Amino acid sequence: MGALQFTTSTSIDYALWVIAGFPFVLGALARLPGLKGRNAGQFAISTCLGTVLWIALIIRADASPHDVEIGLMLLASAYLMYLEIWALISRGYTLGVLVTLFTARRPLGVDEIAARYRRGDGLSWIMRHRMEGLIGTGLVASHGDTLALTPFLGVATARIYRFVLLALGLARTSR
Amino acid sequence: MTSAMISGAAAFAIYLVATLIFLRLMRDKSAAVVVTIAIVAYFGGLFIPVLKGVTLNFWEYTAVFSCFTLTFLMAFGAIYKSVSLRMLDFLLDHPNHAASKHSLMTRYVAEESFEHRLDVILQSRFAARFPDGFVLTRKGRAVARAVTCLHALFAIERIG
Repeated sequence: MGALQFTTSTSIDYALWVIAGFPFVLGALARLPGLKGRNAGQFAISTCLGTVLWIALIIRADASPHDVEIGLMLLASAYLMYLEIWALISRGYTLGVLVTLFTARRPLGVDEIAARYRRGDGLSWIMRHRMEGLIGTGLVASHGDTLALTPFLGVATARIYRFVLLALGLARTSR
Repeated sequence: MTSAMISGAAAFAIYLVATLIFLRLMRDKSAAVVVTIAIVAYFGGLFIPVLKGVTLNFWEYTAVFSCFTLTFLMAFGAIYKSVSLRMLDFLLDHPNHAASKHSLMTRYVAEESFEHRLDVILQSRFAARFPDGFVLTRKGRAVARAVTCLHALFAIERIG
C-alpha cells in the first residue's frame, strides 16, 4: 500500500493563507463607500488583491516552477469555489424568493412575491437586467418593442450554445 | 509531472467521460449527476492509486483535480442555468431571429425564472402554499436566516 502525503511547499502555504483570508478581504471591501452594492466589482478586486499578494510572497520565497504551478491551481480552484458561493448568495433567484418571504413575515401571494422581489424592484428588474447584459455584450439589439439577435455575434453564440447543449446531452427548453 | 498530478488529471478525464455518459442516461437529474460523479471521481482518484501502492501528495492531487473540475462545473452551471442563453436559443428559432420583449418576459422571466423557482421551493419543502399565500417552512426559514446573515456579513443589500 502507498501513502498519502500532506507536506506543503512555501507556494502552497501562501496560497492557503490567501484562500483563508479571501472572505475577510471581500467583507471589508464590500463596506467601502465606493464599492457598496457593486458585488461583481468587490469580488474582482478581492481576487486581484489576493493574487498580487500571493505573487509578491512567492517571488520573495524564490519558489520552484512546479510549486508555483500547484499553488496557482489551488488558488484558482478556491476562487472558482468562492465565485459559485458569491454568485449564489448575491444573485441566486431561488434564495431571493426565500429572503422575500422571510422579510415579509406573513403569507405572500404569487403577485406579491413578484412585486416585492429584490426589495421592491419586482420581476421587471430581471428582464431589464438581462436585456442590458445581452445588449451591452452585442448579442442582441433592441428595436422598439422587439429584441433581435445581432447578425454575427448573436446568431453565432446561439448556434454554439445549441451545439454545446447537444454535446452535453442537455435538453433544450425553447421548443 | 508527479504521480499526484497524473492521478488528478486522470481522475478528471474519467469524471468528464462518466459525466457525458450519465447526462444522457439521466436527463432529468443533470445537476445531481455532475456533482455526485465529481465527488466519486475525487475520492476514487485519490484512494485507488494509494491502495495500489502509489504515494501521492494530497495538495498536488487536489490542485489539479479541483482546478479542472471546478472550471468545467463553472462552465456547465452557466450553460445549464443561464436564462440569457435560453433567450438567445429562443430568438434563433424565430423569423428574422426576433421576438417581442413581452413574449420573452412572459416565457423566460415570469415562467422560467420565477414560477419555476416557486415550484422548486415547494418541491424542496422550503415553503408551503396556503389559501392566503406562500409561507416558509422551518427548513426554509433556516436557509433564509443563514442567507440574511451572509448578506449582513458581506454587506449585500439586494439579492437577485
